[in-house]
Amino acid sequence: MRSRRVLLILAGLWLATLLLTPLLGSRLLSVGDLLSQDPTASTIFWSLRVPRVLLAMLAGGALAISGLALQTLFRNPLAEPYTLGIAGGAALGAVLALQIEGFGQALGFPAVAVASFVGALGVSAVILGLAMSGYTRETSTLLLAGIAISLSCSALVLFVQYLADFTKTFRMVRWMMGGLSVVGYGEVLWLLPWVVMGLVTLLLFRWDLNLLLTGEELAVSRGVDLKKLRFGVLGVSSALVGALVAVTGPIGFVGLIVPHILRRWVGPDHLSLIPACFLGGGAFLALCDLGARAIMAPAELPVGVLTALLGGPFFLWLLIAGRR
Amino acid sequence: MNSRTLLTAHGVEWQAAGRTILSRLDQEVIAGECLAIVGPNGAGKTTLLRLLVGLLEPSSGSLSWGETPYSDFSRRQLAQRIAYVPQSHPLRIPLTVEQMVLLGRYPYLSALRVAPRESDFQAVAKALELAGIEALRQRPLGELSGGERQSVFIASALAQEAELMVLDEPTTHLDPLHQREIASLLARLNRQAGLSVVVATHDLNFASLLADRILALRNGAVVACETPAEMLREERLAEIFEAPFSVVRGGERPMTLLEWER
Amino acid sequence: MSRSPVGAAFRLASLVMMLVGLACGKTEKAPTPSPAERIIAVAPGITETLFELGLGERVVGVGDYSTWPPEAARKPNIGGLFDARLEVITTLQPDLAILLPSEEKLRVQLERLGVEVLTVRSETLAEVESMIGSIAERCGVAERGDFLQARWRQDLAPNPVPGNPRVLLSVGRERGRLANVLVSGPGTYLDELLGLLGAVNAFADAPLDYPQVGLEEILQRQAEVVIDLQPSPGTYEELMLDWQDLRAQTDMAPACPRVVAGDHVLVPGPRLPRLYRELREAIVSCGEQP
Repeated sequence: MRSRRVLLILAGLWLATLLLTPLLGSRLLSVGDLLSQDPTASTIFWSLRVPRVLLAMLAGGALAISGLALQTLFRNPLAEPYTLGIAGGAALGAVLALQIEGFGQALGFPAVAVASFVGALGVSAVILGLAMSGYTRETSTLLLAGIAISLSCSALVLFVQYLADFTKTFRMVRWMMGGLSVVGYGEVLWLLPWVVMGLVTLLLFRWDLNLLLTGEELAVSRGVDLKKLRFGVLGVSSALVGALVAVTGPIGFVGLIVPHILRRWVGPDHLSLIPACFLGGGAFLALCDLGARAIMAPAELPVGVLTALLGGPFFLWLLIAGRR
Repeated sequence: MNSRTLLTAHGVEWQAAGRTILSRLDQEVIAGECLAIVGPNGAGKTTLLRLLVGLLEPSSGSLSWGETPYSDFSRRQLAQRIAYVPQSHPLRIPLTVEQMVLLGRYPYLSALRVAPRESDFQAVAKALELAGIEALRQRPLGELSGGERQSVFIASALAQEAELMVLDEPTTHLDPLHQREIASLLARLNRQAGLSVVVATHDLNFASLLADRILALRNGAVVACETPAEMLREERLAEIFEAPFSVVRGGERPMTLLEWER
Repeated sequence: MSRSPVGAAFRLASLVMMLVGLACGKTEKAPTPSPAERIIAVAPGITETLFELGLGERVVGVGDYSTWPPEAARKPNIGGLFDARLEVITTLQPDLAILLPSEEKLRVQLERLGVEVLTVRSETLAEVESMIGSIAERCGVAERGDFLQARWRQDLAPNPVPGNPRVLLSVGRERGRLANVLVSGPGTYLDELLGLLGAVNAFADAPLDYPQVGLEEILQRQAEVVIDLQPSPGTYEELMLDWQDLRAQTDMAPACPRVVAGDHVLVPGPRLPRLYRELREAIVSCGEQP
C-alpha cells in the first residue's frame, strides 16, 4: 500500500538524519574522530550535537503531530499550536520570568523554562475551559477564542518588553526566535515522556479524527464523544507543545507545513498520518537546524528564524499549487 | 409487514432559548416501514430527526428503542441501531469512497486494534453493493457528482448495520435524474433489504412514492400522520403549506403539483 | 508494521542516552578551582576589565561586541550575548568563564560542559568596581586589581560643575529624527555619573531604568543640556542636526545639545572614567555658552 511505502521511506529518512546530522556542522566530524578519543571531538559530538539532534527530532515530531491533530479537530488548515495561543502563553511566561529575573532555577530547569511551561498550560486551561463549558458549542468559535487569547498574549508581551531595559528586551526577542542549543540530555529526557504520551493518545483517537473529517454532526451521530475528543486532543497537544516550548522557545510553521505536505503524500488516514508526521516533522526540524548551523557558521542562526523564513513562502506555494 | 415497534417517542418536547421548537409529540416507527416527514421550513423537521437519532435530548418526554429508553444506550450502541445521514456534509472530505464507507463502522471499531476486523470489511463490501457503488470504491469523494456523493453517504450509513436509517432531505441539491436514483435506492433498501427509513423531505412526490406513512409538521406540532393517499389531498396540503396544490394523479400514491400565480 | 522501526529507533536512542548520561555524570564533578589560564567572557565590559588587569594573554574567546582593546577584537568570537557558539567554546577548551547574571542559560550550559563560571555584576559604579576586584582576585592578580580600584576611585571622585544644570541623557534613538528616544532613568551608572558631576538627571523620577520617552515629555522637562550617547563614532554632525532642527521649530527645545560618541559610552567597565570626563566637558561647554 502506498501509505506504507511512504512510511518506510520516512522512517529511513528519519534514521539517516539521526545518524548523519550529528557529524555535520561548523566542524565536520568523522567516525575516525570519534574513535580517536579526542576529548574535544567527543564532547562536541556526545554533549552538544547528539542531544541537539535528538531534541530537534522530538520537538519537530511533536509540533507536527499536534499541528495535524488540531487541524483535524478544528477542520481548519491554519490551526496549529501557535494559532491557538499556546505559544503565546509560553512567550508571556518566559518574558515575565526574564523581566522579573533572579529566581534562578526550579526543579533543575531555568526559571524561564518553568515560567513558559506554566504560561502555555495556563492558556490551554482557558481554552479547555471554554471547550468544556457550554459557551462555545461551535468548534470554530473555539478557534477564534484561541486566536483572541494569542493576540492578548502578544500584546502583554509587548507591554512587558516596553517595561524592560534593552539587555532584557534583547534576551526576550532572542527567546522568541527559538533555538535548540543544549548541552547534555536533560532537555531530551524531559521531552521524551511527553512525546510518547502525545503519540499514543493521538493514535488512540485516530478513528475519531478520521470520522471528524466527515463533519461533526455525522461524527457525533456515530458515537464520537466530541467533548472527550476536544479535551484529549487539546489537552495533549497543549501539554506537549508547552513542554517543548519551555526548552526550545517557539519554533513556528513546522506544525503547519509538515502535516500539509504529508497529508498529500500519505493520505488522510490518521493511522499512517500520525506516525508519518512524527517522523517527517522530526527529520524536517533536524535538517532545518543543520541548515541553521551551517548557513552562518560558526555563528548559529536560531532555527525558529529559519523555519519561519522557509515556512511563509513555502506555505503560499502549497496553497497556490493546491488550487491547480 | 410485521408491526413490531422499533422506536417510540412519548410526549417529546424540545425547547431552545425559551422557545418551543417542537411541542409534545407522540410517534412510533414500525419495523420495516418508511416514514416521510414533511412540512414548511421551520416546522421542526430537522429537530425531530435529531431527537430521533439521539443527537438532541428532549426537554421533556422520552424516547425508547423497543422497550429500552435511549438513556440506557451509549452513543455507540445507539449508532449500531440508528444510522443518520445529515442534510449537509463538509464541502471537501479528503477521503476515498471506501474510506468513507469504512467510517460507518465507527460504532464497532476499537481504538486498541491496529486494523479493523474482517467483519468490518465484509460490512463495507455489502454496503457498497447495496448502494450499487462498488465501481466507485477507490475514487476520491471530491471527484464524484452530487448524486454519487449522496449514494456514498447512504452506503456509509448502511455500513453501520443499523435497523433504522434517518435521512435529512437526501434529494435537495440534486438534479431530477439523481433525485430518482436516490429515491429508487431508498425504495430498494426499504422494500428489498427490509431497512426501516425515516426521511425528511420537501419533495411531496418523493414522499408519496416512497413512504408508507407521511408525518406532517407545522410550527413544531404534528398536523397529521397518514398514508400518502390520505395526506396528499388539496385541502390538507393547503392547510399545511398555506399554498394551493392540485392533485394531478390520484390513487395509492398521488402526485401533486404546486399551483403558480400568474 | 509502520511502527516497529520507530520503536526500534526509540530503544536505540534511549540506550545511547543512558550511556552518555552516565559518562557525562562522571566528568561533571570537578570542584577544584581551575588555574584560570584559558578565560572566556561575552560581555565587552568584562573583556575590557580582563585586558586592563593584564590578563589579555589568558583570554581565549570574547563576545560579539568586544571591540576594545584592539587585541580583544582579534580573539576568537564565541557568539553574542544570548546565542553562544557552544562548539567553538568546546574547541577553545576554556577553564574559566566570566559572565553576567543575565547569562543564566549559558552559565548552566557551561557548567554542564565542566567549565567553571564566575558571575559578576556591572550595573552600577560600585558593582563595576567590585567586579574589577573579584576578577583580579579569582585570576590571581589581586595587587593589580587593588591598584585599578584605587585609580577608579580617584578618577571618579565627585567633581561638580557649577550651577546644578538639568541634564537629559539619551542612550539611544532613531537616527535622522527624534523618535523612540531612550533616556537614562534613576539608579543607573549614568545617573550616578551625573550625580558625581552635581548635575540633575532630567528623568530622575522615571519608573524604569531606561524608559522610552516622547518628544512632548522631552520638551516639558526643560533640560539645559541634552547629551546623546552614541556607540558608533563619526555620527556627531548627524545627531546634532536633529536637535538643531527642533530648535528651529520651537523655543522650548533644549538649549544645548551635545553628542558623546565612541564605543565606550555604553559599556559599564574600566573606561567609564573616560566617559565621566567627556560628560563633564560637554556640560561645562554648555555653561560657557552665552
